[in-house]
Amino acid sequence: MIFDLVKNIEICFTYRSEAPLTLIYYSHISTAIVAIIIGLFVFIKNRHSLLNKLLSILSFSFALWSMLDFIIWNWGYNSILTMVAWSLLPITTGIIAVVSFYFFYVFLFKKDLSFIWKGLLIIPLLLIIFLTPTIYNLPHFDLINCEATENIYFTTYYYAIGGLMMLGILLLLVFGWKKSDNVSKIERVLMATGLELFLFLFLSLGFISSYLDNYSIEFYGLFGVVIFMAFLSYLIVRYKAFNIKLVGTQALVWTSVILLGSQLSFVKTDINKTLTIITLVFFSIVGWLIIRSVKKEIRQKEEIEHLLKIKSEFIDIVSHQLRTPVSVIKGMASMLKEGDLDNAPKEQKDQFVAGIYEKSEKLADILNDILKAAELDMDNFAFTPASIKSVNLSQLVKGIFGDLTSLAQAKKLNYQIKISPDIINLNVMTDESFLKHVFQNVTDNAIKYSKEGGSMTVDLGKERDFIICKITDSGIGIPEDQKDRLFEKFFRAKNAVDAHAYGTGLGLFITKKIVEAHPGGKIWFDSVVNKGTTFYIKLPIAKPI
Amino acid sequence: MKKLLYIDDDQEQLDLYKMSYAINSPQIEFFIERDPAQAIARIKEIKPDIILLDLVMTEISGFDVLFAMRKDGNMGNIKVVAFTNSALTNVTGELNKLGVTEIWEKIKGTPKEFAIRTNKILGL
Repeated sequence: MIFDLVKNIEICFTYRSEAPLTLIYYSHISTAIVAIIIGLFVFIKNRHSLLNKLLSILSFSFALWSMLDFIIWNWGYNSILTMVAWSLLPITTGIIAVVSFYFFYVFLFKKDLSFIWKGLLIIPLLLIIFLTPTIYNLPHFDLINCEATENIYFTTYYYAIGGLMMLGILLLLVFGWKKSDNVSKIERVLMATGLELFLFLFLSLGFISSYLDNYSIEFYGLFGVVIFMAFLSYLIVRYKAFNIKLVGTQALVWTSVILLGSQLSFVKTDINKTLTIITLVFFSIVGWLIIRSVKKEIRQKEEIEHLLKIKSEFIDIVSHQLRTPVSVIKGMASMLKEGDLDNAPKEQKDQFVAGIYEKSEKLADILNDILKAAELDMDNFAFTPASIKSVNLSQLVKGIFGDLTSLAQAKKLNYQIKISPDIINLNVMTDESFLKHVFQNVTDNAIKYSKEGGSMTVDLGKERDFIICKITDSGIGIPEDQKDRLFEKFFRAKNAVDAHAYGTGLGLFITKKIVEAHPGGKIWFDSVVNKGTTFYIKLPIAKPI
Repeated sequence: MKKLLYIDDDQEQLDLYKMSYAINSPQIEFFIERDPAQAIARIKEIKPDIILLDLVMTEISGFDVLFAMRKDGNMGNIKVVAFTNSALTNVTGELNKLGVTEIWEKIKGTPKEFAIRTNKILGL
C-alpha cells in the first residue's frame, strides 16, 4: 500500500481531535489548574521560605508537564509542535522527581541540602538537559501514528531517576526518623505517603505507557497530583504546615469544583450535563459555606491560642514579680516573729522593718499596674470627665525628669532635658495621674536600660497642634523580631529580661493605652540593638479657653 | 563545717537568708554570690557542699549556671537546690534532668524552715 501523507495527516487530525477528548481535558487542565493554584498560594503566602519555594517549583513543573502533554494530544498533527513539547517532557519529569526529594528533605529537617547533595541531584538533570535536543531523546517523528518515537534507554534513564528519588524519600523517612524531631511523626508519614503516591502514579503509569506505546494510560497518572494535593491540604489545615491556615481548605474545595466542572468537557448527553451543572452549583455553595465555617473556626482558635499565650506569660512573669516581694516580707516578718532578731542591734531591726515597708510598696505598685492594665484594656477606655484638667506638659515632664535625676546620676548618664521655648506655656487636657505614669515609665525605662556612662535626652517640641516628646537613650535597644510585640500586655523583650530580671511587662502596655486615650495621641519608637531607642509621644495641645 | 553557697542577684534576699542561717544553722558556713556571671568561678573557689541557686537572675539564669556546672564534670558531687519564686509550671522536668537535689519555692517556707531543710540534706 502506498503511503498517502495527506490522508495520514487527516487520520491523525481526526484521531487526535476525538480519541483523547474523553479524558484529556479532565486529566490535564483540571490537574494543572489545581497545581498552579496551590503553587501560587504557597509562594505568595511566604516567598522567603525555601520549603514554600520548592513546593511552588514542584507544582509549576507539574503544571508545565501537564500543559506540554496537552499540546501533544491536541496538536498531534503538527509534528514540529509535538516534537518540541514531547522533547521537554523528560526534563520536567526529572525536575518533578528531584524537587520532590529536595522538598521532602527540607520539610523533614527544616534545613537546606548541603552543596554536595545539591550537586549530586543536579548532575543527572544536566544529562537530561544536554540530551534533550538530540536524537538520543526523540529519534524521529512517527508519521503513521502522529507521535514522537522515544529512545527507550533515555526514557528508562529519566524514569529511573524518578524511581531513585522515590527510594530516597523512603530512606529519608526511615533513617531520618530520629533526627527530624521538628516535625511530628504523623506529619512526616502523611507527607511521605502523599509524595510517594503522587510519584508512583505519575512515574509508573508514565513509564508503562511509554513502554507499551499506549499513552492514554498515563492520563490516569496525572491524578496522582490530586492525591498529593489532598494530603497537602490535610497537612495545611490540620498541622498548619507552610504557615497557611485557610488555603488548604480553599484549595480542597475549589479543586473539587474544578474537577467537577471539567467533567463538562466530555459529558455528552443533556441529562448528564444538567446533572453535572446542578451538582457543581450545589457543591460550590456547600464549599463556600465550608470555607466560611473553617474561617470562623480558625479565627476562634487563634483567639484562644493568643489568650492562652497571654495567660501563660502572665503566670510566668507576674507570679515571679508578685512572689519575690511577698517571700521577702514573709521571711523578714517570720524572723521578727520567731525572735531571731531579739538580740540584734536596733539598726538591724529598723532595717528589717524598712525592708518590709519597701517590699510592700513594690507589691502595691505591681498590683496597681495589674489593675490599671485591666482598667485600660477595655475597648473604649476614656478618662473620667471629672478628672480631666488642663496640665502644663513641660512642667510635668520637668518634674519627672528631676525626680529621676538621682537614678541617672547613679549610672553616670549624660542626662539632659531640652524644652523648645514655644511650648513652655502649652497645656494638654488630660488626667494628670495617668499622664505622669506615661513619662515616668518611658523615662525610667530609658535610664534602666542605658549602659553606665551612656546618655539620655528628653526633648519637647511642637508639631502643628501637637506636642512631641522625644525620649532618647543609648541603651540595649529592641530586637527587630520583637518590636511588633513591645506594647503587648505582659510582654518583655528577651534582652530586657536578660538585663533586668524584674518587670511585669505591663508598663508600655499601660503607657500606650493612656497616650491613645488622648484625641490623636500616639506613641512609637525607633530602635537599634545595642545602640539605643527613641520613644516619641505625641499629645494634643489644649485649646485656650 | 559544711559550706553553702547561695547564688541570687537580689541583695536583700542574700542578706536575709545569710542572717537566718547564721542563727538557725550555725554549723553551716554561708557564702553568697550576687553576680551569676561569677558563679562558676566562685563554686570552684569555695567548693561548697550545697548550693542554693536562684533561677531567674539578670543576664545569666540559674539554668545557665546549672548547664555550666554539668558541663564541667567536676561538680557532680555538689548538691544543688533550685531556690526560686518562679511558677515552675514547665521547668520541674528539666530541673530534675539537670540533677537538682530539691526544688524549693521561696514563698512556701520561712528562712528558718529552709535552714532546717538544708541541715537535713547535709545530714547535720
